[in-house]
Amino acid sequence: MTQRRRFIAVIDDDESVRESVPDLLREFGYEAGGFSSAEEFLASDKLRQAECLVLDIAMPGMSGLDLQRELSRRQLQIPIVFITAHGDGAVRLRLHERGAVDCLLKPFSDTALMEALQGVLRSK
Amino acid sequence: MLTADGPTDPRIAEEIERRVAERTAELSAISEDLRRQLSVRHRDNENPHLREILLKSFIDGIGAPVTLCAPTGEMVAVNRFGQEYHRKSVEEIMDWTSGEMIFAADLPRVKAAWQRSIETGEPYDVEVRARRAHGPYRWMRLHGFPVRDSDGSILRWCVLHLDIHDSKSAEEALAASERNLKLTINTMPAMAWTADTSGNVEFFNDNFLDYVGLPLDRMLDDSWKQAVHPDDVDDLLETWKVVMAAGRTGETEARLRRFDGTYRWFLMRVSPLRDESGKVVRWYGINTDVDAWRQTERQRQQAEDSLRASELMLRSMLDSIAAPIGFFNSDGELEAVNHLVGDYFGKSFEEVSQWENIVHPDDLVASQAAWQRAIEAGAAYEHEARIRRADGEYRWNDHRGYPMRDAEGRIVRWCVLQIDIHDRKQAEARLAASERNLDQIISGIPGLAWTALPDGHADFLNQHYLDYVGLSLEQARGVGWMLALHPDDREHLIADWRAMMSERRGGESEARIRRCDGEYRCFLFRASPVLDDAGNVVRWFGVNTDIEDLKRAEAAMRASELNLRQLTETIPQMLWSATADGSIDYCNKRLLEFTGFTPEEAMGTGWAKMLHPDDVEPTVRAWLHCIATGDPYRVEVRTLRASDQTYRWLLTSALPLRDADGRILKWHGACADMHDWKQAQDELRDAQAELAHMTRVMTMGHLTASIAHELNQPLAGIITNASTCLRMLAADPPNVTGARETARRTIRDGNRAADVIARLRSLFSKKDPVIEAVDVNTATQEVIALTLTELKKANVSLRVQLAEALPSVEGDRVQLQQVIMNLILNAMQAMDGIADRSKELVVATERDGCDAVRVVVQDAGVGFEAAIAEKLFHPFYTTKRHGMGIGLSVSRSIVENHQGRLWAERNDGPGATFIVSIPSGDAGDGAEVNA
Repeated sequence: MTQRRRFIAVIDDDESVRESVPDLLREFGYEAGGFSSAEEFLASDKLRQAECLVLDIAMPGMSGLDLQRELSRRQLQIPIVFITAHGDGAVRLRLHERGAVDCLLKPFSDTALMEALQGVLRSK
Repeated sequence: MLTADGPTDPRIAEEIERRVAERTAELSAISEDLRRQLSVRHRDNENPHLREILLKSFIDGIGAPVTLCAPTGEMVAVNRFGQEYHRKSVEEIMDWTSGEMIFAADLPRVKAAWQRSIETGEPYDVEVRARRAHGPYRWMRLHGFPVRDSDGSILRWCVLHLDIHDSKSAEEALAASERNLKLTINTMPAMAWTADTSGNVEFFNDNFLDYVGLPLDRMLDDSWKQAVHPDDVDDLLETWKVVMAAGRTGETEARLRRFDGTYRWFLMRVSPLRDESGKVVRWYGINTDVDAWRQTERQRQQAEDSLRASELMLRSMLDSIAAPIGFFNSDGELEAVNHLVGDYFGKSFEEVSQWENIVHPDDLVASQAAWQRAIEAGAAYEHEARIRRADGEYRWNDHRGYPMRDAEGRIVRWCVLQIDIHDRKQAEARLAASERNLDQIISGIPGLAWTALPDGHADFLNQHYLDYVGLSLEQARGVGWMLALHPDDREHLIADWRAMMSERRGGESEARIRRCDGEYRCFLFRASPVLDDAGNVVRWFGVNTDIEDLKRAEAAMRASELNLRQLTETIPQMLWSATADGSIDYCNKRLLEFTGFTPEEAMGTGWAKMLHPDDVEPTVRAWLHCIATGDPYRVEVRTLRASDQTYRWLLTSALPLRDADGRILKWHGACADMHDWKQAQDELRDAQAELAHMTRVMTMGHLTASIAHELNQPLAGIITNASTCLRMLAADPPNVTGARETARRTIRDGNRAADVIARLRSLFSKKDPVIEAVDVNTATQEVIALTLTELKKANVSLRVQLAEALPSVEGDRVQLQQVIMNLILNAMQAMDGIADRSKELVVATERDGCDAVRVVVQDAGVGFEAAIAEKLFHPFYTTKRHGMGIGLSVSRSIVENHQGRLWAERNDGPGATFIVSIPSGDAGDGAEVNA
């Protein structure tokens, strides 16, 4: 029996990330799709399918933190792996306070991504 | 046509015949009726008595006078109408033979006729004059006829009385008219004839018959044609035929033979007679003897032909003379003119004959008087007067009249020639006016004007001259004017004057003339000869002009020039001048000393050799531009210093000297040694560049987060793609297609990272400025990209408004981007700590007029006090806790080095706006160069 592959949404305004990370996730056996903004993801039919988010913190419009807040408001418990190009420790600290499992600093290795991903999926 | 016995007028004859026939018919009818009725009565009643009564009662009923007579002729009864008509009793009427009832002269004839009828029993018909009562006698016609019984015996005579007086009178009048007409026709001094509608001649009058000597009967049988000249018969008959066919009056001429055999010319005229309907009923002809007239006419014709021929000859002679000519008789009356007279005056001969029609009113009396004098004296006539031409213009004409005489010397005619001298007159008038004008001009010349004879002796000096020297014309004439010359100047002036006269050319000389107050002043003598066609001098004209003031001014000018020259030679400046076309014509001593050039070497274009080889081309280009446009000349150029053989920076500038019309006369220039200043400037620029670099490096500290972000993004892509690629290749089978795609993305992201690094390097490296065309929008966008992360981090809301189609600016891209970045970071920092409002930052580009581009950075920060608007740009002035106060100062230096401006404005609301304005690349080029 074939196990249904888990869908992971990659949300980042940077095209490089949006293209490369889903490809890598698919290599690891996940179903993955890229979204250029939080608004696009909220409007898509993948909102209910996504089992995990790889989410950029700083984006035009709704930021990653805004989306996290919106999902909570909608009572959607989707595990999130935050990614950011800023090495600002204050933001990461704030994320922890909000319960995020981890925040990856760009650039990150495939191993770090997989570990973070598996970590959040396990805790689900 | 009537015969010669009766009326010739056929109408009259016909009328008479008609009336007689009417009367006869009337009488016959009445008689027949009476006779018939009497016979009836007679048959009805054979009783004689009764018959008598019946007869009387019968005649009483007749409306005309009727008498009954016995067979023997005695009257027995008169009817009632007869009594009333004659207004006499029956008895008086019965006694008609004895009384005055019948006109005495007619009585014997009546009685005889009556007696004859009694005797013969034939009807009785007679006309007689009878009168009614005692009135006038009237013609009556008595018509008696016998009334017989059955066996033919005469019982009674019945006599009818008809008043025929009116018709009789008419007959007599007709007869008289007929006689008169006949008499007229036969006595008229012409030959008359008539013809019927077929053209057959019916009648010739006596004159006609007498002329041709033929009797009427022979003439009527067409023999009249024999009387016509054989040469004229055909024409005559043809004309006659044409006239008849036309039914109109016609005429012709033909010769008719007289009784003596001679032919004479006759004018034959014929006219038709028409009835009431217009139809031709007869032709009447009159032949008039025109032979004598034709003879005269022939002679006249010959005389006229001869006259016409001679006239023609004379007229052709006259018309061949190209001037109006008129001929007058000995009394002075105009007889003939040639055709030019008509052309000139545009009037008829009769109009031209009237002097007042053609002579100007002001000249009329004098002209007529002159003409009259010539007529009376018989002498040639010459007079000028204004004559009105065909176009209405009065023109001066010279009239010359010559008398033409016959063999005895009598004047038979005048020939007057008219010559238009109007143009000559006007030319003379203009010449006279011109001469008057010339005299006035010479006298009015505000100089000393004079004229001299060909031998050099003065013959005229104008009043100014005489007043000036205080001499009379008599004193000054000839060589007297030399009295006023300065003794020292006489010799050379006379020498110059003689040279001009000998060479017959104009010339000038200078000499002092003593004024009437004794002061000598210098004059310029100018003389010009007037030459005739042979080139001989006719007259000299001269003007002496006071040049004393000019001379003094010249002297002053020379002194001034000397002074100026000394000034330019001693002034501690390098000066030079050039002609309008740019050729150097003067360098002062100091300039020559500096360059080590001789004046000759520096003149013209030799100065270019003084310059540094690299500066020659731009300097010459700038100089030529200024010569062509007249723009001020200003160059910084390296020039060789002779003393140490080094090139030093000189600031060379020049301005054009223009005349009143704006034309460039000269260029005056100066060279200033700016070498030391230039070096200081370079050092300052280096220092500024260093400072700018330092500030940029300092800026980097503010941008580390942004820089990291800019690099981490592509790096994240690179690493992720590389990891994916490896996994794809390690798969079994390897996913080569996917690996190739991820490798491509890796390269792309690597290039992206390299671009970021290159931008950072160019921004923060230390290198010499590079002047190039800079797209302000692109430069601004790059700076924004670099600062975006910082702005996000500072929670600043950015609004970018870039104008389209901006011109590029000339400048150093890095330095300009440094200014923009500095302004953005300043704005961001100004909004740091703002919590009560949105941290809005506007970065905009726009055109500044037509020759500059602006970058506007507007924040909503703390702003600044108006008083410190300028202090903001002072070095080391800062409002920030950790600021050094050099950012805006350096930015302003950079902008000003780009010939731009940087300033700050307070917003209407919170915050400040900083504005950079940089001249755009398409602004006009100046002549100024910085070599």
